[in-house]
Amino acid sequence: MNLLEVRDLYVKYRSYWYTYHVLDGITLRVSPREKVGLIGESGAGKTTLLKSILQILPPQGRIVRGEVLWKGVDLLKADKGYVMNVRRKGIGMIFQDPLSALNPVFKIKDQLLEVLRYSYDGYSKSELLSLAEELIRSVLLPDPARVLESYPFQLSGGMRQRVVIAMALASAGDLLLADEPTTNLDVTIQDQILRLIDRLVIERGLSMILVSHALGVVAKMTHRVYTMYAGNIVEEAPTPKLFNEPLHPYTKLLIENVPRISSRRLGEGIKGNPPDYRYPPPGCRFHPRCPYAVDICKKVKPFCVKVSRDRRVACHMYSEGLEKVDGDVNAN
Amino acid sequence: MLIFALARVLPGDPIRAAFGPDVPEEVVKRYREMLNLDKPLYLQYFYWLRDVFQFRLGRSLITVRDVSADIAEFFPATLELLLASAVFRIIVAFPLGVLSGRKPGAIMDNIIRVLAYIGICIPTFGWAIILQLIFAYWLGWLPAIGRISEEFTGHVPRITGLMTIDSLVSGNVPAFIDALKHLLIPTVALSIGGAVQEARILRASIVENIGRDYVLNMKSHGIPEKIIYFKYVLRPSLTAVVPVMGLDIASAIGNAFLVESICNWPGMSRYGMIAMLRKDLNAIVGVVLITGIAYIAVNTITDIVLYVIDPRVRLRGREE
Repeated sequence: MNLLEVRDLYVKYRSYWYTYHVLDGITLRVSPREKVGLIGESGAGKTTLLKSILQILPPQGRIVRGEVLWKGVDLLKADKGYVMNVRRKGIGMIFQDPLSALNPVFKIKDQLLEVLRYSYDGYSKSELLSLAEELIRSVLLPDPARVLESYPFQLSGGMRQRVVIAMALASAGDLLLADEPTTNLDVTIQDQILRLIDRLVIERGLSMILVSHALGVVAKMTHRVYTMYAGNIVEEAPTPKLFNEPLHPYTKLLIENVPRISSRRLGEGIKGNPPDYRYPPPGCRFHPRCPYAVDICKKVKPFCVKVSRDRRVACHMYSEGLEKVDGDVNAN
Repeated sequence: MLIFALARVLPGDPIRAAFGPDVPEEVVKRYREMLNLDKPLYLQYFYWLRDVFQFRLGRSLITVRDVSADIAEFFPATLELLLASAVFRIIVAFPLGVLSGRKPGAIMDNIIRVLAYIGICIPTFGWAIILQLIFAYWLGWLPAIGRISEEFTGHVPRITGLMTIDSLVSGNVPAFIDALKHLLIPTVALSIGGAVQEARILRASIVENIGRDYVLNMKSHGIPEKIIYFKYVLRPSLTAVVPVMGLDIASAIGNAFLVESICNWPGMSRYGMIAMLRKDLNAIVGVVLITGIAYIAVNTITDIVLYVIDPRVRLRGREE
């Protein structure tokens, strides 16, 4: 059984004047101990997707419809206590920016203990404290006692991100959501942090959704990858296949445009901009930027087709003669 | 020093102002010599400074005694008003801010917003008159002027000079209640405008903090919303409102004279205003000096409070 399954999820944000149609029917699944990558440009809705899973969207955000199945139970319909329990013991999330993910006026100890208190009920205060120290040690921070007594601003960016990871581990019983965990860090420590996350996930037998712009990292760390464009999953494939032979035009462009050290010229980037979520283009949301776009792309939204046993793509180029698949290619 | 010089260069003869036009020239001359007003300005300053270090602020021309004695008599009344104002601000601003920040845009938030505009639009003296009209004149619940009713006058020993505290310390409960009633109108008039403004600042700060990642982070761990709000959002939000509140209270020292005049509150601000109009040199300088000291005291307290709630303030020095 899948650990997590998101089915046909629609999310919109509402401001005073406009409605932003951000997630446009997302379907995704994570099996136990599986590491899943999520790639796409900034603003594709990756963070929104992670927040929707935990239902921690800002007040403007609304889940319009869809299902978020956690071990078979729909979290969107489950009672609040169940959702709280999943947040406390099931899913942990690493936030993008370690600078803002910690409260500036409380000690690390206070914040970590507050998290542990709910994730490990029935533990005594001293047991929680030794748990906290253990967690700090597990993210390879020296001198846990001193770290716990520090305020966030007394730690470096890398140290803070390790603390955030420790916090996420505290409530990640089964699944870790890593939202660009290294984007805001120094290049030199990005690699360390990613290795650390990878090791911890394997050691603890967790599943992970890794959101990252660094495609190399995703290629190394994950089993399966989803490409997201403007609130749609446009392609899904096992990691090696996706990188060796991308099918969707957007994935192709994304992979072609990774800047390489060996190449002297900079990648051109993908022409055009992500669409305006207030008025998303009809048909395929990618058609205004797609080099292969034909008439049908402007009118009909491509549905997901299963192109092989373990691959799925949403593009009219591949849809001829294939059946529409609802949900996942591997879902039984 | 500046105030000292300014008070001296004000137009008008202080002695004449104090005694009227009909006093004989020699009396005026004698007083001038007594107050060193016949000496050059720098000598006057020197004499004054020498006296200040002996806690003498010079003789007032109106009350005909040392200004320090006057201030000792009038300052506690103002202090009482300021303390009451601080308490009122805290018990009004914090709950209002917390309530409206909890659900921005909800009915409660809008009601408080309207109240805040009303509170800010009406000036201090306006509030004093309105409150007097409603509670003293129409409803008759509260006395309009003074610090304590006549029946208690002289029955409360002067310990701190704060009528409410003195009566409480001496165990005179009816007098305490009476003093408290007298205190109510001037306090509310003096602080309501500031209090609602501070509530708005607190609200804005809360709303800003709620959108931060660390709140989402805590939410993602299943920490109950109430704990996040009252413990983890409120404290960083307070760092925005505390300095404003400190400044407001400090400037209320200066603004108090309107309320003190309208409510016939025998405080230092009213004393200072009369001194100003009558060109009572030593009294003016003395009041300004005390006001300055009070200002510094309030700011110090504000800094201490910030020091306690915000570790960034506390530890910044040590880190560098």
